[in-house]
Amino acid sequence: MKRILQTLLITIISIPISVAAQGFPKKDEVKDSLAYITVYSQAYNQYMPWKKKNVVRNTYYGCAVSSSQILTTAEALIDSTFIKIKLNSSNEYLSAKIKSLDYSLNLALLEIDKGQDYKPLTPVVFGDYKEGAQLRSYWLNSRSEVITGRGYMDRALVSKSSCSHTRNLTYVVANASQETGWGEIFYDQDKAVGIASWFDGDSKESGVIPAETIKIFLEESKKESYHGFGMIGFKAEKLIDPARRRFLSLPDDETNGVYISSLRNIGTGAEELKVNDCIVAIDNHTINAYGKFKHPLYGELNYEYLITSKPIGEKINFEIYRNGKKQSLEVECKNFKVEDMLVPYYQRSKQPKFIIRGGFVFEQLTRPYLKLWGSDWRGSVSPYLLDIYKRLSFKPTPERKEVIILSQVIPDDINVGYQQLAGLVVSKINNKNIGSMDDVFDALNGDSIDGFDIVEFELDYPTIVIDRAKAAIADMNISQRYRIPQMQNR
Amino acid sequence: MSVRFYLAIIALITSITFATDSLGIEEMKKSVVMIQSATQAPDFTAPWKMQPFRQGIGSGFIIDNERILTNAHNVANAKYIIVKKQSSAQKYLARVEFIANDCDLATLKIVEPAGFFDSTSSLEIGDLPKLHTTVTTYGFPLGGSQLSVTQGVVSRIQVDRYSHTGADMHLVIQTDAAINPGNSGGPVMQNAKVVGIAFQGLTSAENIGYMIPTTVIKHFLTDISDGHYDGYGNLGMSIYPGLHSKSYSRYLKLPEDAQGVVVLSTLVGSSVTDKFKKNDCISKIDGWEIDNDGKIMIYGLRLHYAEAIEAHQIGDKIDFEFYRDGKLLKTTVTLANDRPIINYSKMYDVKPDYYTYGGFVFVKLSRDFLESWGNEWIKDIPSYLKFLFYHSSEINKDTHLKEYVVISKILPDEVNSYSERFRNKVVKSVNNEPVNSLRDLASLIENNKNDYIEIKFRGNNETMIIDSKLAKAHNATILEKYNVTSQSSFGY
Repeated sequence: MKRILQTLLITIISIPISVAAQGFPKKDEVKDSLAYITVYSQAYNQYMPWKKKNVVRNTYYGCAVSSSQILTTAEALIDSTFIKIKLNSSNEYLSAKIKSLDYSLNLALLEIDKGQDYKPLTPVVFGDYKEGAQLRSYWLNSRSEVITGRGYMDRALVSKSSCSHTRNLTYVVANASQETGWGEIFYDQDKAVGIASWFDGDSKESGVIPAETIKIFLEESKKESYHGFGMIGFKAEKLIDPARRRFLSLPDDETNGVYISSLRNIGTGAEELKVNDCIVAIDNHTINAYGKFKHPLYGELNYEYLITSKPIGEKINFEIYRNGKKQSLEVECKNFKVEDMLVPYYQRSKQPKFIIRGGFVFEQLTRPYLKLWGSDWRGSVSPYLLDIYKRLSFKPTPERKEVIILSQVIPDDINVGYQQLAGLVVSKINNKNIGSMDDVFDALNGDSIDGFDIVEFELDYPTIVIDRAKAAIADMNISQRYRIPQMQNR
Repeated sequence: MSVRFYLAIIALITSITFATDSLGIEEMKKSVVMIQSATQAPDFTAPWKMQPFRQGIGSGFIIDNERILTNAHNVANAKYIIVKKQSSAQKYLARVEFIANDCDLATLKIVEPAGFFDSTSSLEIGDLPKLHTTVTTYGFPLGGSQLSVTQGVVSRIQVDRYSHTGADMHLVIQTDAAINPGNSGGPVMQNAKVVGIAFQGLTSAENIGYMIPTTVIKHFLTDISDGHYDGYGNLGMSIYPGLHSKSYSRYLKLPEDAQGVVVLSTLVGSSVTDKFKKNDCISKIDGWEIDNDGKIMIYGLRLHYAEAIEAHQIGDKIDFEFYRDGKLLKTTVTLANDRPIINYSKMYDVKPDYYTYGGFVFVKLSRDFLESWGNEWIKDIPSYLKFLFYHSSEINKDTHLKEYVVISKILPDEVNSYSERFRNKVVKSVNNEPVNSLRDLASLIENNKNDYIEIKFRGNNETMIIDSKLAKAHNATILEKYNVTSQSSFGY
């Protein structure tokens, strides 16, 4: 009876459902906070960037964060072309658009399109982490039924999501009774603690994007423009080798700290830190020799949390040893777009940059391109391209912002003799250094060399010589013969 | 000793057909011998150790001067060789006279030849057989004690890879005569003359066997006639054989009807560095005209232009004609054996160098070291080693660099307990001094006066720190503990 009265009270005064509730919410109490999301997506074909792959349909789950806004994973919306929502209160699909999206946090906010008739959603209230807490998961299925599962909060850690290179706070739900990992919401009693983003069938564990992360994401989403959170600009290694500690001139009584083994050209600390700096504290949190600090709520966490949970522009204080001397460094929290990487790890919802000239296809080197070599791509792909990817992905320079490759040659009379060339790194076109696709466009549209476009490559490959006048005609023929709708996408 | 196959094949002999050659078959058979050997290769990751020894059976035949000609792969790394004639139970101890791993040939001598050569005749080396003619293979396939004779047709003559070293390429003759493990080194006859030596086969196709043609055999026999085997020459340059684009020809300022191959680069320190430049177009070699596919008409066949070089011995002069900036120029090159910094060929009968310090084992980066990853080594080796293996000759511009030095093993000890991740890394410097060879590295470490040795690596920003006092104190114990016979192979 008490439960019924409480539920009635909540309904009447229209406050978020779980504020006054005790215990886990009943299905009826959460049904208006859940959404069933159908996403149609279509990625570009990396090998033939003028083409798209087949349309794929996937379903995910979401939860309300306002009367018209739904939270889900960013992963769900990669390459999305159409999003439709089903709510418990309506039999009809509602269309929605992406309001904000952060792949690093793996979170996305959807806004139901205006002008559609539906019962306003009841926003979820998020609570805090409690280790060992019994949890319940909820989601809405395709028949608008609320489904539940169980598990318990096992631990918090800092890990990568499947759609980002950054490590962020993640809760791990153990003994999960149901496969969850597609945006299902987890509750600890009457408060939501996060949404599920992965599931490990072997360990029966589910990864949950924490309420803490969701809160900062929603706050950031309210701003006029979304700027996001910090990304690491260096690589730090554990510092447990006594010889190395002495080599770095650390005092004998200093037992903490990790050392910088390499620097990126982008991200937080890339400019301020130096190789062999030893980081002993970040924002007054002592970093131990394994790179962990003590969080009051989560216990030991990787130091990266202190950067990846910080809004960009904020100052971060690093306490370091440099050449044996302790000093403080004020470092600005920075991040970068995946497009800023020399070899982007992802090509999400974007057409790869390309230009075809004389049947020669020039593309930007990206990890999705390398992954064309299949699941064992690291063992099969050109070792030269793999080396660039492994060593230089985070090291763009003003002169070299992108790596441009000749990805393939579309056979035609104009390129006879060159048709077997593929996967070569372009160094120069018409004597101009090539450090981006813009450079390629400019060089091919600028002055030719005696009527020829001259393309040179890194390593020992022949120079490509394209008769510019003939290429214009050849490209028209190639476009028709091979049904290529666009010969470039600048 | 098994026939070297690209991938091993074991096929049944489907027919045994006797040849109708003019020389008596029985007489010919007496000249074909069985070779039994025990071989043992070093462990290229821990060179003080040897790998388990292997036994094998192959074939060979008698040639002039009481020699036996066979495949190098029958006797490479041999510790013990026995030769046996079909007609007798007696086994004769033999030794390698000359071995040419680069073309998979060797000559043997019988240690105590009394009676061995009685009623045998040396087989005569003939010429290249014509395509589509019949040849007869003699040998001891699959270990049988009776000589097997099979017949086949010459189906193709081309330049191909010799799998014994995995890298060297020479002319080969393809035949459909059954060539099986054990046939290796046996003569392939036509009109009572040797026209080839059976040596390798294919697994991906049925009844495709390969023999070493007499052009290669004669090259070997000529080479050793001065009492020393020098090997095939190699011109250290990278060539593009695909000059079919008219625009490319015009860019290179070639006359309208000129054909040839384009020079892409020359190897650092090679014998042709001063002779050719990028974008030279070589149109003629030793008088042979090179077409745009890089082929020449030689021996009545259209073969890779390298065949013109193959005819020469190291030290010979070779004439070239080439176009540079629109002008036809001539040059003469003295044939040398230019090799890339990582030798792509497998090595035999060598004692690999090594140096150990603080449990770290340093060796030279070689194909043999990389092959320690097993059959799928080319896929399984660490990506940076693969990168160097494929591209070192293109990326290296350092004339001082003699070899890459890699940490092949870390023998566990207190000195190196935090350094496991540096295994298989390629050393760039010691205490910021460049390492150009294994001996360089050893010298820099042995002469170090600092408390710590700072080792940096290629393709990796990390630094490895060795506590030199601790390492020195532990060196002897580590060697003893892991049964390492000496600290290095060269005197430390």
